Amino acid sequence: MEEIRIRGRAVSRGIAIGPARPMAGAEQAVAAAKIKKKAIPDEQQRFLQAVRHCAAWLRARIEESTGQRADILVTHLAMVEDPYLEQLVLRHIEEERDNAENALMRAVETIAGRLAALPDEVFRQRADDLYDEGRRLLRCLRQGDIAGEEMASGTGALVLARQIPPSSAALMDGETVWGLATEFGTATSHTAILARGLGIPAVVGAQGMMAGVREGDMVIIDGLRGEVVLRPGKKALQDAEDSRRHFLQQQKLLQKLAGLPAQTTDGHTVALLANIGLAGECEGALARGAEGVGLFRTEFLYMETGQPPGEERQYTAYTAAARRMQGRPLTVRTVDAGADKPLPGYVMPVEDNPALGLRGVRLSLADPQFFKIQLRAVLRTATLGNVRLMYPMVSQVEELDACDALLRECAQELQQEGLGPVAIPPQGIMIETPAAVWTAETLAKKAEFFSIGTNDLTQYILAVDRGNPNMQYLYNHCHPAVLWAISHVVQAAHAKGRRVAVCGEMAADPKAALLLVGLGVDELSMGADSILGVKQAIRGVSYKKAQALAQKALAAESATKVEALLRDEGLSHK
Amino acid sequence: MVEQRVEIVNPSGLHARPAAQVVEFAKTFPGRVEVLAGQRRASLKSILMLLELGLCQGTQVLLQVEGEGEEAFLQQLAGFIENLKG
Repeated sequence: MEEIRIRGRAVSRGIAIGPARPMAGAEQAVAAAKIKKKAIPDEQQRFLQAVRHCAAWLRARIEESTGQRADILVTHLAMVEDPYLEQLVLRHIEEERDNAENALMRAVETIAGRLAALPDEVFRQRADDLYDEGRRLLRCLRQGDIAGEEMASGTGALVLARQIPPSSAALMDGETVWGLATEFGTATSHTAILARGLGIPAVVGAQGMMAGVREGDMVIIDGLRGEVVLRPGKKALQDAEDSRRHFLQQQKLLQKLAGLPAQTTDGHTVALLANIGLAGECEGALARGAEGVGLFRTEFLYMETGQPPGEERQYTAYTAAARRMQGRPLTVRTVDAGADKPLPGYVMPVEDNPALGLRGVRLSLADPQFFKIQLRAVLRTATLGNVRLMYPMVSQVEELDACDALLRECAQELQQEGLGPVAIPPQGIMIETPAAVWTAETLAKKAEFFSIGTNDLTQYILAVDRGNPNMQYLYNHCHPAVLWAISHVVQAAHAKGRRVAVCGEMAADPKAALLLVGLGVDELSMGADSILGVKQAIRGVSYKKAQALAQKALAAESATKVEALLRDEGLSHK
Repeated sequence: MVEQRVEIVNPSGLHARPAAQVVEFAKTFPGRVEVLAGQRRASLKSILMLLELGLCQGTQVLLQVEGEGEEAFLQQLAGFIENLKG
């Protein structure tokens, strides 16, 4: 078979070379989330079979291990074989008609939620052990017999699939998955975000790839150029290895910056934080020097099971993230959905113009009972870490008042139910609408921090639909109108002593980030893999220079002129 | 059914390895083996139920055993828990 090259979109940087593991059953797993009555016994057997597989695998590992490692494995084995877990899973399959995967996930979440709520840290850590084993069981369920062998061999492979369901994506780890390529998906899809968090190269939109690949074929996933090469020839392989080496060297240099502050040459410091969608991304973010989480997109919790998560499930996810951040800020954004960003399992009204419709905080406030589930979960987490609460798509101060009132109502209820003591976390807002920009003075009296969502802000200020391919030429966050808006927000916030963050794509672009620093932005939050590059840019200029650059950009005639300005002097480093 | 009160004495409490050891031991008895802490009850054959009780050092618990040879097993179990390390 000859070499085949397929173009796609690079969504997670790096180059992976290795044997292909095509994932065939993935779509099936999503489609059959609920099973028919007559399938109940088979589904229960499937779970019990997975338990036997995992237990056998763990026993073999225990035999070849000693000391602390063996101790850990013994605990994990007891969890895998636990009769209580088994009973819960079998019951979910029978009563709820969940497939084995979903039944297992629900049971794990229920128990882990209770463990995570225990006062003693050593007990809370067991929730993580349970998640580890839940993941291992899920892998067994997904891959049947192959899983046993594959886990035993412990080697990695490149996963290729038409698309990867969120529940599978949550199971990936960098040890067994070296790279990812899918035929569908976008840069903001679950898979892409997780791949970036784990630091595995990924390409999406590589259409037609699955028809040409077989298990074990040598494959290159080029997450720099956005290409998948099936069965590469000698030259292609050599080239890939060269660019892989070059990339890793560069990363190694950048990695040296991880422990250093994002400080300009004249001593002005900016905080660099990470945007995450899952608690599991925290480790990757910390390894790249993130000083906290500036944006926790809670929508992903909703995508995992295809239905709105209950309070316990959310609480588990938020506590897991808060604990991993070890006292660093964790900014939880309440659900940001709308007809253009639907939530699985939640009915949205049909709208002619969803971008200007019931979305973000408007949707949440329209359904207070639904909203309160999330507020309660966040409140219960707030005492465990440095949690901040952030509301999206605010356009008038009454919305913030309504959120605050609901939050206090929830706090009171929790206290009455004996789930206190409850601390009200700092509440801030996203600045995305022109209305919020030009009333920032008023909003700053009540909101304790601002975070500018430059993606939506750009679309609303420029009146350009960012999803419309015909409008791409007009969509540009360097437009002076956007810069003026940001400048205004910073001044209004600083006058009231509030800090301003930027959490859109703009913060991840090293050149644009310098503009933001020059405009006085205090914090930049971005995908973890952009942090070190942005830090390098900031450490290369003086604050004075960044400020001068920002003033020139504000005075520029157009987005094109601003870009030219950045090209000419932005990164000249002195 | 027989029962006996014991105190958790090992410093880290019944978590992880100590909990796994107790569960492993309880599973050797074919009958019912349970622990009560205040109002809450757990089977000692389930590490997850046991962990949910969050039994740390100094907690007083009541052990209950039911089945053939319950007396002898209860003695062994109490001794086992009192001699846990770690």
